[in-house]
Amino acid sequence: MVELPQDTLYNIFSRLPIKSLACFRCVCKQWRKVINDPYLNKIRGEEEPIPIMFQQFRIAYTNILCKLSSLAIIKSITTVKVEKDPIFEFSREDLTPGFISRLVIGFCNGLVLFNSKHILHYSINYIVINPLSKQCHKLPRIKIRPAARAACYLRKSGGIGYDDSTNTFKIVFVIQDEQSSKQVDVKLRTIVHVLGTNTWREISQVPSYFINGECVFAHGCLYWLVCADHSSTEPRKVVCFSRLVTNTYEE
Amino acid sequence: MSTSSSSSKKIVLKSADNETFEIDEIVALESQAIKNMIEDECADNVIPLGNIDSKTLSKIIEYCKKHAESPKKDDNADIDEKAVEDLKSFDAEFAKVDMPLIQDILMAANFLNIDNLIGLMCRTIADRIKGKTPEEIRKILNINKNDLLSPEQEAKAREENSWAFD
Repeated sequence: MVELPQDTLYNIFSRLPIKSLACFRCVCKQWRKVINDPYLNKIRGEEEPIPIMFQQFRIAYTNILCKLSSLAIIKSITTVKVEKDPIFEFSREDLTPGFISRLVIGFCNGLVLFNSKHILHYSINYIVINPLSKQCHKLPRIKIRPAARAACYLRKSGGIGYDDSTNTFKIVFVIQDEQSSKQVDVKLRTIVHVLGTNTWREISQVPSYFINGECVFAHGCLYWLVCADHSSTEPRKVVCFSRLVTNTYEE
Repeated sequence: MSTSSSSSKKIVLKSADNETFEIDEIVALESQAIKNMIEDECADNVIPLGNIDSKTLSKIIEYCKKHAESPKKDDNADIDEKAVEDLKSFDAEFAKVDMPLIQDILMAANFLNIDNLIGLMCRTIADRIKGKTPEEIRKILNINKNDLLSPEQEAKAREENSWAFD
């Protein structure tokens, strides 16, 4: 009997539930390689979304234990039951007790980007977790200009996406850490991190005005809903996006 | 359905063990690879398939015949539901063969580029390995012994994925 070629393994695995895949990671090296490949996450796509519940508990002054539990859907979509053991636990640092900020920044192909340490502590930290492989990637710290630290002034917005030309996940943030006296002169930085590397790369192109709020990943791009004029009361309507492959913005 | 046998062109396929199969061209066209060969006019009267044995090839021809006869989905929006059901139950019966043959059919379907058949075989394999333990998988699919994880790596992988093992 001949061995199955790699492309048929992708085809077979894309039809299997996440639980089987987690178990099959130890069948052999080739299977582990295919199951760990970000491309498999992509082709599995939204075929079988597993509902996951996120809980967090404070275990020490600085550490927060986060639990991801899978949910079993009973009969109707509205009734869910938490399965007894969490599928994944990880801890995130938080030095500002009681400060509520958005924890989940973005998600893409089964990976979740979490906010970790808050700005008041001079750097921004993020973590990316993969509930399937139980990997928790601590992203390198993003350094902030001292002036922004002193003034506690910082604005940032970003998200995670998948670049199919290089088969990598990329995390993109737009940061404004220098306050300008003039509204028109916003000093922005765009930084990109390729998951698995240990640096953030600053790219030359910045959006023409600050983008904020959540961004959504679709068709190889991150999309933000923005408003061109801060003082305007018009509804937000302009869509701005960053092409992951070419690292450029378009509007 | 109404292809008259007198007017249809015949194609001859030759298996690795030198058995020949004469089939209607329309049946052979289920294979994208053969279709390309015919369109590029590089197919001789006999197409040799040096990596497919006669047992596998006869199964593949059985599949292609049935699918070539059935009305295609894009032909007609309101195709008869009975035909769809019929094809489904044919596929289910067709896949009831042992694992080595499934794998041989899958490899051959890959080579001949028969999309539906690749899908059917992959779905069959996925259904058969779902819920099995790694040991069972290694037996079912005859995984290469030289490709196994080291005992330490395997213990680590099991620990990390322990939730999936109950």
